[in-house]
Amino acid sequence: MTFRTKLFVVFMLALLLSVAIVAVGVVAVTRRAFQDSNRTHSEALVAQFEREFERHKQDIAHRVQGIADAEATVRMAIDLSRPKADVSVYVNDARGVSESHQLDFLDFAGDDGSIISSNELPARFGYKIDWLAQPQDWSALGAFLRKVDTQDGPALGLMSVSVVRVGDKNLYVFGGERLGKDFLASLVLPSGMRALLYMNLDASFQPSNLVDESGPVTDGERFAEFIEQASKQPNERVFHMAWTPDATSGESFHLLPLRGRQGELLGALLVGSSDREVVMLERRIIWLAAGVAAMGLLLGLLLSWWGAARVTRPVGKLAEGAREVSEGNWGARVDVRGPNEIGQLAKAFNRMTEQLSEQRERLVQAERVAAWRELARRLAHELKNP
Amino acid sequence: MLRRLVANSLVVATVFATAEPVESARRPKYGGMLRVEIGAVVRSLDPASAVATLEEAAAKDDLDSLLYEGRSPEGTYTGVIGSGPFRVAEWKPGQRVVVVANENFREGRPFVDSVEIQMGRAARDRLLDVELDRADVAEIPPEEVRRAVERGVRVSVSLADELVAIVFVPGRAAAEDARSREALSRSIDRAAIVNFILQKQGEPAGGLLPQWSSGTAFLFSTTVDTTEARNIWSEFGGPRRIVLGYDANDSLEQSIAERIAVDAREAGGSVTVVATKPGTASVNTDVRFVRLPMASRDPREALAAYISILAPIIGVNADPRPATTPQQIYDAERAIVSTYRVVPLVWLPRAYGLGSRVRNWKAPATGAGWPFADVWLGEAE
Repeated sequence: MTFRTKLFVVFMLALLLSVAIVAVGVVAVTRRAFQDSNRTHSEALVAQFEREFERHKQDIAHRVQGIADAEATVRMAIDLSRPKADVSVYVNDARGVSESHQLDFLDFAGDDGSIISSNELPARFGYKIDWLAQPQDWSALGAFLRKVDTQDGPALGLMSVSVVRVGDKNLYVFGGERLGKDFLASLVLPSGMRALLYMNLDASFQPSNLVDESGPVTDGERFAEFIEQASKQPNERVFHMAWTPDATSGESFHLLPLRGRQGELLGALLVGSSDREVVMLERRIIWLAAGVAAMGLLLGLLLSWWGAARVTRPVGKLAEGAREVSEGNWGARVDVRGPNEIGQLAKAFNRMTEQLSEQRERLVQAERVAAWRELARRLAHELKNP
Repeated sequence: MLRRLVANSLVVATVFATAEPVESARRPKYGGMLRVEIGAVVRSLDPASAVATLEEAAAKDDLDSLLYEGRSPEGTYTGVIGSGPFRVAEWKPGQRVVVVANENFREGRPFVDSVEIQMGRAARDRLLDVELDRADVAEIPPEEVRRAVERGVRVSVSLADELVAIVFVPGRAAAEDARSREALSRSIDRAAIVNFILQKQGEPAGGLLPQWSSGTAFLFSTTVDTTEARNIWSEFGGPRRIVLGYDANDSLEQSIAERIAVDAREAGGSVTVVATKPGTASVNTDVRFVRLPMASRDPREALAAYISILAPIIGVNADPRPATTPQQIYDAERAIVSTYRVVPLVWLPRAYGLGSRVRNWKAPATGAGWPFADVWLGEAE
């Protein structure tokens, strides 16, 4: 391999290495920036959910209290406080009242917690809600999450209890809203993010209980592991899900456990952030780096060729001069100019060959003088001794 | 007048929300058209034509009572059409029928000139029409009686003479398990159905015949036994799913079905309620509703009629020997009920809302059909 080729290769490798280092660095920094941005978005969404949740709680507590304060409810309470009151008169009342107050769930229950009227499960009249009659400051508690039995099976509700007290008898007003896809639809999400809600209504994980704003989630069973972990340890957590081998399908989830009145896990909000934008950006950067590298390579090829030629041309001339000197041409000269080391080397070489030529001339002259002296000495001897 | 005397003597309970107008004590008036609205749909007046539902059969029977004079020992009307107090003047199958007074009726001409019967009217519309005096007589679901009275409608309620029961469909796995049938029967809170769903109209039913007819109905338990039902279902190691079908057009059946599902669930069972098209047998239901009006006040005749209807439904052979004594009637009832293939639920009365023009109304007697021949129309109030 010639010196020029070596130089060319070194130049090219250095160029490639530089481009690669820059590309990797940019990708890493961008990825980190996007991850930070996504985490910030997730946290903002979770915070938004918590605010929305709190607002819903207050709203529901307010509406249920409004029902309890209504004239009709107070009259019902007065009527039911009488001995041998006929509760059957009110069996259908919950439906109309819940519709007028836009509540999904509403129950009126008597002093012992027996259901007088129920909107979500009208046929459940007469059965007791045991926990309702237990001592509790319901107004201080506000709204809370609870599993509610409905005609279509259990549902997750944001519920509140208000009490109408007449004499020593209580009338309980227990109402609330369904927590499900409609609630998720009320959340405003940035692009590339989605919110899922798991309703912990069964003893084990049920994929159908995991919904987004349009209904049950596809491939919901893949969340089983994380939901079951949250059931055992209801703490906030973050995990990543790769839906397909394609990296763009990946999604990072922030899991927020939703607990009931007793601290039991009744649901979980999952805020998902798609990896698609990050991966696509990474790919764009990689392609951009590849393009830049290719152009750099081409440019480097030319520059390296020119640079290598520029560096090796005077060296070649020096080599040629040295070769001529070695062949006996002491008068060889190299035409290299410049203030750099190669130029100085060329000047020194020229000076060296010049001095060599002068020394040879002086040596020939001396030899010639010596010959003439010897001839003169021999002539003088012959003349003296004929 | 023999018919009217008999009919009047059979009336036991008539409830009026408002006092009978003074005019009713005056001389009856002839003339006018009595406007009647019912929920059932009669598709044919031909005695040989088949009926799709028991509700249609009952309505057709009531209609026949206006058109035929004679009645067979089995309770069906016989003779020449038009021999009864009315003759058909206009007939739109399933929609409307107008009958006019038969001048030659042997027991005397009816007071009204004609009766227009609108069929297939929704319960809400019927109640509204009678409230607004757009109808003179309208069938009212028993569960709506209290509301109708609160709205100032005159209401007439008959004796509880229609049995609502559920029957297990033969051949279905759930139907062939006697313990499962028993558990479901024991889990049902019939008193709650009467008190809440029916708004205290009707009676809990443990047997096939009501107390006022047989005198032995109290011997059949109607109390809920959740503990025993839970014990039975726990024998299976988990609830067995039972599918209960109800008529999609019958809100009362739906309400009762939903209550049965709740009761069963509280007792550890599992009942799924599904709506079915009226008159069509669903292949997926284990249990379905039957509503059986009593064919006669006589417990022997009523029981014989019930057995003839229920025997093919529940897949048993009817005892050819008719029950005649109270003991035999009780034994025959017990034999059917103890299989739990038929689970009596409640006895329903027939309720009618009356417009302000209606005079001399007497609640229809059990098995006697509509009493339109005795009604006359006064001035609207």
